[in-house]
Amino acid sequence: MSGASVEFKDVEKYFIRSDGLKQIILDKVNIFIPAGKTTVIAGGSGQGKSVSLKLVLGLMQADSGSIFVSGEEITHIKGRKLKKLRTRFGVLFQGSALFDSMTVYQNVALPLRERTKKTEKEIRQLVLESLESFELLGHENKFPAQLSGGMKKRVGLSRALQLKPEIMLFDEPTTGLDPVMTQEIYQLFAKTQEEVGFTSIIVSHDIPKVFNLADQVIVLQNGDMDTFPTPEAIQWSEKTHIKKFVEATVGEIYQSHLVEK
Amino acid sequence: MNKNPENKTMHVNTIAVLGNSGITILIDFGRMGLYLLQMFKGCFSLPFRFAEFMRQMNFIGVGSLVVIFFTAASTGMVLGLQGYYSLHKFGAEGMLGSAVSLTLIMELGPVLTALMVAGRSGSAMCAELGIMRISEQIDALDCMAIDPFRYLISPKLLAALISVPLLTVLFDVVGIAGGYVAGVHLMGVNPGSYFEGMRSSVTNHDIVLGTVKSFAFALLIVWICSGRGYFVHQIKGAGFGAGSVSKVTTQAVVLSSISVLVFDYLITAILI
Repeated sequence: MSGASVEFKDVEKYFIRSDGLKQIILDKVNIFIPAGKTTVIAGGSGQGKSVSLKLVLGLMQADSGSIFVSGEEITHIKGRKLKKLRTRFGVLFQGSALFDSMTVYQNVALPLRERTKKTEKEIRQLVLESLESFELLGHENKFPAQLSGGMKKRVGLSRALQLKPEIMLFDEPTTGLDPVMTQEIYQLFAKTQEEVGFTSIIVSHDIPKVFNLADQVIVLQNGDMDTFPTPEAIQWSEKTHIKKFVEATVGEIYQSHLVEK
Repeated sequence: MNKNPENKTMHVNTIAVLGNSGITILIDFGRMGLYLLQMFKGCFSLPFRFAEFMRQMNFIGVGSLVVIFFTAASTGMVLGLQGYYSLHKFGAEGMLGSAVSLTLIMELGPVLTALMVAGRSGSAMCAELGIMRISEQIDALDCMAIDPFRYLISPKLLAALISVPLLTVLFDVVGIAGGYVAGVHLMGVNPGSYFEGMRSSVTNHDIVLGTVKSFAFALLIVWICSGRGYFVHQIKGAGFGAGSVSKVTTQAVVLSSISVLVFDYLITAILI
């Protein structure tokens, strides 16, 4: 399976504040996220990283400009087309978004039960295989409240992968995890992407660690998006706001290396 | 003419605030109107979640039996005593059965049942959906292309539309029995005249009126309570996180209770 590309053309998104003023989140941004690669969207809090993900998912609408997935415009699609589009995405939410009244097994089985015509026997086999690959076997009857932060992320990832998505979106995937767990989760992402081949979009402020995974990095600052082909390129940027961002987040110059898979 | 620039700014600000509030209310109504349509649409979407529907029937219907029983019994007994006290002044104790049954079937049965269900199940519905919203569980359903209306909300609506009228019938029966105990056993009204008064005065029209009310109230409770929870993140002034859910849950119960009372008058005025 191969991933799908995502493209923003002159995308503008703003909110109207309570005092009636316009707060621009994305100011006519142009980005290209290549298929099958990992793109990291970095930026400070409130810069619109999660908004960008929501625009791709159709959970929010752009105020102007166009968004394309594999060359097909999706900016204003609704109803069945939107539903069909969403089946191409897998999402790992910031808080994992597991259904807290369901067990781990029920959570992972949910997309298969609701979106496919597989028998319960087939579903059971797929879910148990997936749980085994994420080292969750033996925990299938636990509820999300009984799991650690890292386990929740793994259950969320397992659930998101059940429908074999072309694009995986990760919204702040390591928030609340300790450094060891963060590293483990990133290694898991890299391993899974190599196996499944999806396009990976990671929104994170976990810099520079997340750069380990990146094929390209997009920095979101003051409504503007700058694309850098490598993590190193950000650090050599001449733009003042990027320099400030690098100083605030990375500190000294950082050299990327691939995660051991 | 007012020439003070400060006063002028104050007036402009007042108009802006009023305009802003008007727009917020309109947006809220529009959102809730669309929500109602989607709720109905969800009822006809397949596959139907029968197990969830039964779970909601159990929660709204079976779970409310005790509270409905005690409310109905005390209401009926109070009506029996009060009715006897008033009718006794005119020597019309024989009309007690008629007074108790008509009051319960047309008014108090549907209204008090709805208020109890709003307080017990409506608040739970609102909090459940509110928590699912703030913890991104509803977004997760959307992202898996699972319709949250079919999956979460329509089973609640259908369960309430069946449970609330049945609970109302139970309320009426227990209330009439309570009135019998207070009027006949405690105050000495003739048992035959109690039932004969009820039989001769209650018509099909009265029962239809009570039934229409209970259906309308069930719809109002699910619409308002689940809708407030579903839109917890978009309600202006609700705040964020757990605080917003508690605030919106209180708001939902108050709003649905007031709506029940307002619609009670409107339906009575139209159908009586």
